[in-house]
This record gives sequence, structure tokens and C-alpha cells, in this order.
Amino acid sequence: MVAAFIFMISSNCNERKMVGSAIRLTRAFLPLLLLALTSCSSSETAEQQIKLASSTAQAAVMVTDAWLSGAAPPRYASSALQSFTETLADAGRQVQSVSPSDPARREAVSTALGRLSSAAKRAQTAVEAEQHAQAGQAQRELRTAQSDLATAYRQYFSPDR
Amino acid sequence: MKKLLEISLGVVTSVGGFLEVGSIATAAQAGALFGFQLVWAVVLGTICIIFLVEMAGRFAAVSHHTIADGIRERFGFNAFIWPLLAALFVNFLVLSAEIGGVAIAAELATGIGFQWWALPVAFFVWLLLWKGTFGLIEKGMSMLGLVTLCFVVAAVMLHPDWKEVATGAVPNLPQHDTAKYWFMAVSILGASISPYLFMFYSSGGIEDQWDKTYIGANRAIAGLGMSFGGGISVGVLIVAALVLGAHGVTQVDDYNQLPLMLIPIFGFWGFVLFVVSLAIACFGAALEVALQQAYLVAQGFGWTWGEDLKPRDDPGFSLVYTLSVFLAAVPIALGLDPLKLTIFSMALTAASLPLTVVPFLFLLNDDHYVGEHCNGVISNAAVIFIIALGFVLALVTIPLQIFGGA
Repeated sequence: MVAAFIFMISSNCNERKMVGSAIRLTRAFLPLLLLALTSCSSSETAEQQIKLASSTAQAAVMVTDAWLSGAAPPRYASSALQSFTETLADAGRQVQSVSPSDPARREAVSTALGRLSSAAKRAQTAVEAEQHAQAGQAQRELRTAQSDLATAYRQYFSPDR
Repeated sequence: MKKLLEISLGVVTSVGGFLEVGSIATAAQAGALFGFQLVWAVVLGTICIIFLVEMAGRFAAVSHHTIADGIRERFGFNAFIWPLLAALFVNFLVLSAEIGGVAIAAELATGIGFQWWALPVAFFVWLLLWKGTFGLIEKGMSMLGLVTLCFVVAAVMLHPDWKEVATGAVPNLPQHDTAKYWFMAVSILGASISPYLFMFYSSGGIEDQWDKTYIGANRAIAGLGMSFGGGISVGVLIVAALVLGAHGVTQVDDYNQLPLMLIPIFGFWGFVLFVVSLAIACFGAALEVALQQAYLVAQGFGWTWGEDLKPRDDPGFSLVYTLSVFLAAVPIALGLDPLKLTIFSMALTAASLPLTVVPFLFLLNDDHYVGEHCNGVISNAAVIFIIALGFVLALVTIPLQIFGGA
């Protein structure tokens, strides 16, 4: 679109013509752009956020594991877990904002995401306090919440919706 | 014997300088989400860059012109301005991403946010450009860049199913996330066929005072160096697939996930190796891209240029890299996510390809410049293919950015 606009600018010396061309071009592309921007339905948003959350939670498990085994420095582990906590909390907010046909199923997903976010936060606190037992506990919570999220995800997208 | 040594050094330099933030990020994302399925994009990108680098080097050795110089002289300044502007804009984004890559490495090592590192990194890049020589920048940093071979070692240690890797080297259709798959393919191609790479290479040929006796060496360096370099990118992709993807980390949207590629293999040293690899690869690339900005403008306007000259002898050239480095640090200092910027800039790089590759077809077939060393059938077929690929990429990049890049 930008290239086409530049081309039009180069080939039209008259300012009025240029503005007219730009408006026509914008009119032609606007519906396409709107279509592109609105094409992400609420179920797609939820699906994307659940996938992102699942992947982020798995990364949080890996980081905690690496810290527990002494393979990751505490500063990195803490900063990574903080970032993952924010991503998980944001995914929860995004899922909350979609309007599902079955609010109960959305709630199950939101709850699982909330638990993931809390567990990642607890892992971060444990790493900062250098408490291995608590970090191990938070890691187990992350795994349990992940499995809950997987169940909620299957139900959310089950055919009888 | 001297020539052999030069070739070896050139190959090592190409290998050490191949990996940068774009190739690491795109290969890691592709491997984590699609396993070995996108190996073909790395292979295709590597083959294309081999041809372009060989031609750029041959052009410099025979005509004693850089590619930018040739475009301006052959087509005139009015035609040169479009590839110049496109290359300057895309290089600006890439330079910013590279500075971001070093800043991320610094954050991982110290815990201090990456945005605080942007300006200090820019200062060190500038200082080395101001004080250093071309040899130091090209060979010194690339030698250090050999640390990135740790990805190849890691890939071998993971014992991948090589048959499956070979299957992935053949273009194939996505089994899921179609838009994301094609967006990743475009980004990988953008990271591999970076115009700054072959433009810089041709300027390097002039800086190193290449002549016709270097044609064979150029061929060997382009072929072997870029192939081994592409091998490192495949190594990153394999490691991402077998470590991140296999553990369920399929969405690499956070740079904090990247060190996890090497930690399960090398333990604490995996973390150190990742941080050092990222820092050196991106620092080296930042130096090259900043220099390339200065080469482009100086060659375009016919100014005196040369990294081995004192800044007072080429003030315009020095001013351009100074401005480029500090301006490119601004988006990172303002907190723009380097990983997102990287993926975006790699896709745009792919979209800008036609503007920089089309002139190859004319310059490398012009007797006035290359005489008997003009392109053969294979090289011309390769350029036409890359141009066609470039046009397709230019058309699909923006829709894919909307559908698959979010």
C-alpha cells in the first residue's frame, strides 16, 4: 500500500490529484485493513491466549528447574519469572474480555490462568528469597495448573459448546 | 600458501559473522513452533545469499566498485535514491534490533533492564568504529563470533533424527498455524538474505583492495563461509525444536525464553554461552550495519570513505555512522521490545529485496564493469529466481505481518 502510494505520488504532480488518489487508495484498502484487523474472532483470541499461556507456563517450569539445579543465575531466573507472570496475567485478562457462548467454561479457563500466574509469581518470590523448597512447590503448582488449563481448554473448545 | 591462508581466514570470518539477532530469533521461533519443518527456509536463504555475496565480491574485485557505487554510476542518482532510501530504512531497523540484541545479553548477564544498555552499547559500537580499523572489525569480531558454533555442538549433542532434518530441508506445507508458518518463512528469508550482508561484503572487497586474483578466493569464501554460517542457523533451529518445542515452549515471544535453549544441554555454561554468543553476534552485526549505512551514503554522494581512514579524512562518512548508531539506539532506550522489532525488521528486509537485488542483473552482465567475468547462466538464473522471490516476499509480507506476525 505504501509502495502504491509512493508510486502515485511520483506519477501525479498536481497536489489535488494526489490527495484524491490517496483518498481513493485509502478507500480501496480500508475495508481490507478492517477485515484483517477484525478477523480475529473471540474464540481465536481465547485459543491464542491459551496457547501462549501454556507455552509461557512451560518456560516458567524450565526456568525454575534450571535455577533449582544451579544452571540459571538467580537474577536471570527472577527477571524471567517476573516477565512470565505478567504474560500469564495478561492472558487471563484477554480471556476475561472475550464474550463466550458459555461463560462457565470461560471462567474455568480464567481460573486456571489465574492459578498459573500466581504460581509463577510464587516461584519468582521463592527464587528472590533463595528458598528452594518453596520454588519446588511453586513448580509443582505450575504443573498442576497447566494440567487444569489443558482440561479447561478442551472443554472450552468441545463440540457441544 | 598465502592465498590459502586468506581463504581460510575469509571462511572463518564469514562463519563467525553469520549469526546475528535476526537469524537467532527467527530460527528459534521457527524451531520451537514448527520443529524441523522450516529448515528449508534457512537452506533457501543460505543458497540465495551465497550467490549474492559471490556476485558482490566478484563485482568489487573486477570493477573496483562497490554494488552501491555501481548502481549510482550505472543508473544515475535518481534511480539510486530508491534502493538507497529502502536500504537505509531497513538497515536502521536492523541496527536497532542488533543494538537491542546486545542490550538483551547485557540484561541477562546483569539483571539491569535492556533499555538502560542501549546507549552504552551504541557508544561502544561508535568507539570501535571511530578508533578501529576495517580488519579489526571484520576479522576480530568474526573470530570472537566463532563462539556461536556452540549451537552446532548442542544440536549434535541432542542427536536429532537427521532424516527428519533432511525432510525439513525440502519445502513443505504447514500442518498448523498456516499464517504464522509463512510469516516465519518470510522472516527467516529476510534474516538470511540481508542486503546489508552483500553490500557490506562488496565494500569490504574494496577496503581489502581485492583485484581479479581474488575471484577464486571470493568464490570459496562465499560458498564455504555462507554454507557453514547457514549451518549454524540450522543448528539454532534444531536446538529450539528439540529443547523448547519438545518441552512445550512453542511460542517464543519473550527473550527470557531464549537462554533455555542451551541450559538443558550445557547447564550453567549453557546460559553463559548463550549470553556471550548473543552479545558478540549482535555487536559484530551492529558494527557492520552501522558501517554499511556510512558506506551507502558516502558511496551514494561520492564522498571519501574508508574505515581505515582517520575520521578527519572522511568526516561525512564518520558522521553518518555516528548518527546511525545513536539514532538506532533510541527505540531500544525508549523500551521497544528488541525481539518484536527483530521479527518485524526481518520481514521488512525480505520485502525490500527487489530494490537491492534487481540491479545485480544489470551490473553483473555489464562488460564495462565485469568484462569477461560477467554472470553465467547459473548465476543469472539464481538472480532472476531471487528477484522473483523478492517480489513475492514484498507482496505477501504486509498481509502476513497482520495475520501471522501478531
